Amino acid sequence: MMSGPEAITNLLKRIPDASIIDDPNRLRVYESDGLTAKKQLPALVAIPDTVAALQQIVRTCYQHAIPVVARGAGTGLSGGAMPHPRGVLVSLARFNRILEVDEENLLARIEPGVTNLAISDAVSHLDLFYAPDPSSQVACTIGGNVAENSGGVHCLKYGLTVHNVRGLKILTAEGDIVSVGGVEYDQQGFDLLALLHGSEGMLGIVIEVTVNLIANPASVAVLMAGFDTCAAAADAVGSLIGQGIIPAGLELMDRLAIQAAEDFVQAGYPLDVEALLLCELDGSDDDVLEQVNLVEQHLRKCGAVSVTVAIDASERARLWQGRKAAFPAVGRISPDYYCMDGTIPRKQLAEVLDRITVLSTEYGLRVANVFHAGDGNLHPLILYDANVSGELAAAEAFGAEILELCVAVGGTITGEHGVGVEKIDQMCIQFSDHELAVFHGVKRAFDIKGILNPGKAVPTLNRCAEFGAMHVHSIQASEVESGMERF
Amino acid sequence: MLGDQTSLILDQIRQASAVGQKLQIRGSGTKDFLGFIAPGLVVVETLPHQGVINYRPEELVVTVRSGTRLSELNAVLAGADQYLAFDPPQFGGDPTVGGIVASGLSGPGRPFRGAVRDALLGLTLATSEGTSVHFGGEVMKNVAGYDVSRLMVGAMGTLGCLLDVSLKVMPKPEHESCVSLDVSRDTLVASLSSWHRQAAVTGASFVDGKLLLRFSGSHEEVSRMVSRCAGEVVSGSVFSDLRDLKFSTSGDLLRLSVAANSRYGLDEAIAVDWAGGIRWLEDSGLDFDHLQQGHAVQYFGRSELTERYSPLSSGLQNIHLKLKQEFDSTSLFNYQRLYGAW
Repeated sequence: MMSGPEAITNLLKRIPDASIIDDPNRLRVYESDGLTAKKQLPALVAIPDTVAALQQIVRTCYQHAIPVVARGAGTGLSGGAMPHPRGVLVSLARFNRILEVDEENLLARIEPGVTNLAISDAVSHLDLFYAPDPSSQVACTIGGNVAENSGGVHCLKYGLTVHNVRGLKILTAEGDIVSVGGVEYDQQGFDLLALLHGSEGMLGIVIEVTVNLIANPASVAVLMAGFDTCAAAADAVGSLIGQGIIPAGLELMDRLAIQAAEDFVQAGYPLDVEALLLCELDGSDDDVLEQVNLVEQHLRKCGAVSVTVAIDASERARLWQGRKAAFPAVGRISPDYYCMDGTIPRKQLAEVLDRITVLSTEYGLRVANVFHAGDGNLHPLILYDANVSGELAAAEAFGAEILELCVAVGGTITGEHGVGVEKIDQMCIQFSDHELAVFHGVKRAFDIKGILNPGKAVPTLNRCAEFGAMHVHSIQASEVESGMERF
Repeated sequence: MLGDQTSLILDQIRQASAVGQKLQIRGSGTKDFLGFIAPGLVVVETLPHQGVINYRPEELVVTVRSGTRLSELNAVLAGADQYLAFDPPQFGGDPTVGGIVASGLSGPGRPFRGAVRDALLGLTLATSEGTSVHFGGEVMKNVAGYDVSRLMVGAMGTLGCLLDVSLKVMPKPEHESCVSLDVSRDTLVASLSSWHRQAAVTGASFVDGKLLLRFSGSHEEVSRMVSRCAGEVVSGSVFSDLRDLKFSTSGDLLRLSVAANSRYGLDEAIAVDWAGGIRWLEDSGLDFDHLQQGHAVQYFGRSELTERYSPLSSGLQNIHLKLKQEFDSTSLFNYQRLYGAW
């Protein structure tokens, strides 16, 4: 830690209900989030019980310019909650209460450590639900969802976290409590609510969230369509949406993902196809019936070799279970995997998937694709073995190429997992120095000392200059080796 | 001359900045009444900066220059049976897309179909230094960097001048019907709340003592809902009239944004929108310092008020001021349009 580490540890330990941990063995638990390739021990961990304790911790850290990294459940996939070696990692796990369910205003007010799924569970008796549903929803927390602007299977129709949160209470870097938005539908002045979403804990620490609740649709159907080629499935996605149909969810899995998921949970997926589309339709009984017919016809026209329709709730759940368990399922067929998150225009899906297949051969690493096709949000899972020398580095280089490909076709390096530490170099490719300077200005406005989650999400201009030099060098080297131009 | 005026706009900004001249960003002027316009500002005309840059119906995205008029954009979208779900107010004119995004105002469908900010995917901004920067993009999901695009929604041009804007568009509903029902003010809030939950409802408002409902979806579903509520079927223009404030007769109109189920301002409201969340008050004489709930904007009248928006909490004021300093430290853009201090 910075000046006088022992003195500051003692200061923090004296804060009531701060639950400070400094035993290295116990700190080990917090060394990484879901991006396990990046590990770092924090100087201290705090697990405060009360906002007052959290406030005192942040104020002390602000005074002494000590980094503060907020952490929810640690399910993030980009290292956004990776600790800082000189900093305090603050776990928000004990802020886990649902404070209020307001049925009339269709809102719930909750603490940041409440898990995503717990919100829908708490309001299901009112026939309501909270829409964003990341695959980690059993474990991930709403505070982390706000920090990453998490998506999920159903955001195609219902939007991301930013579209489903009405208000936030944050703790600023100085330790002040500020309410942004609230029960009203709009805010005064600047849209700080949007700015805070996806800001990766760098502008404030979320201490309360007011979420929108939505009435459960009367009727739901899931169609599962098998295709002989990935390209045909990918093209069917854009074509379906071009017909004016917005499914609640539209997901694509390739052969490797299908097999892994089927072996793991026996979802009933066909094993003789190259790609599967899962398409969920919801709405009134009449609308869903009409849409099921339209979508089935359209998918067959696009080359679907099999279409199964599930109406029954348990049958639908079984089909989704394979998709939701796809990441751990892939984890069973490879010692390690690296999950990418680029987003591209839908019409580029087939071309980009093709290119990923080519890269997979070049790098000698297998790739499983399972992703939010309707949103154009790719999740290639690069399979590698960290115990084989050079494979992690190869996986990272492969991943970086995929992200650069996404930017080249008009997309972005991250759709919903965030930049964290993982994609920070690729930020230099997506943004100019002028644009990065705007981000730094935003950061200064909220956190002049730069204590909140430093080193994440937004690279310094120096770092980009260095990355640029390295990057040019490696492109030249690889062009010489492969004899081909890069995207 | 119409078309890409980016370099002209950037030049004007750089020249104004060099001589310390403050600028008013203006499109077609349909919202000249909104906020305070300080004397002595030189106008940056965005209206010539027109044109649809990219429209891909199958991607549900359109990118246009900020001076593009709503009527032109709507016509282009209608050609592919698509529309802007946030249905921005027109106030009897033909607003530009830049003004629509900068003001962040959405129509009566907002609680059901989302707001301007929900549809905004990315934009290009002219900064106070006269550089062009781009944030977000044309894809549905993007969490690379801070969401500077959405920060511009509702900022009324105080952080920069919008150049190009990418918006998510939606397929038009197959069918739409509106009905008018009798309702008492005592049961209004409960009634709006219960309709809000119903499928196919895309408008729930109150004007002239009547509850107005709009249903959208398939023919079967809309007919079923219309017969269920047993009201009088009326023209869809009841919602566009409400959106454009055609109900207002006096010269003094205040917009109050509160919790949808609040009683605050309900008895005095001449119109209620957004399933209860917006109350329109005439001759309210409401002193912003005595606002008990929510926030308010003085739309028309009370010309003595130079602060047209109710004050922010001190914590929010602090963040706004610091952001303004970072984006536009000399108040080059739209000085005092939102708040008197900057």
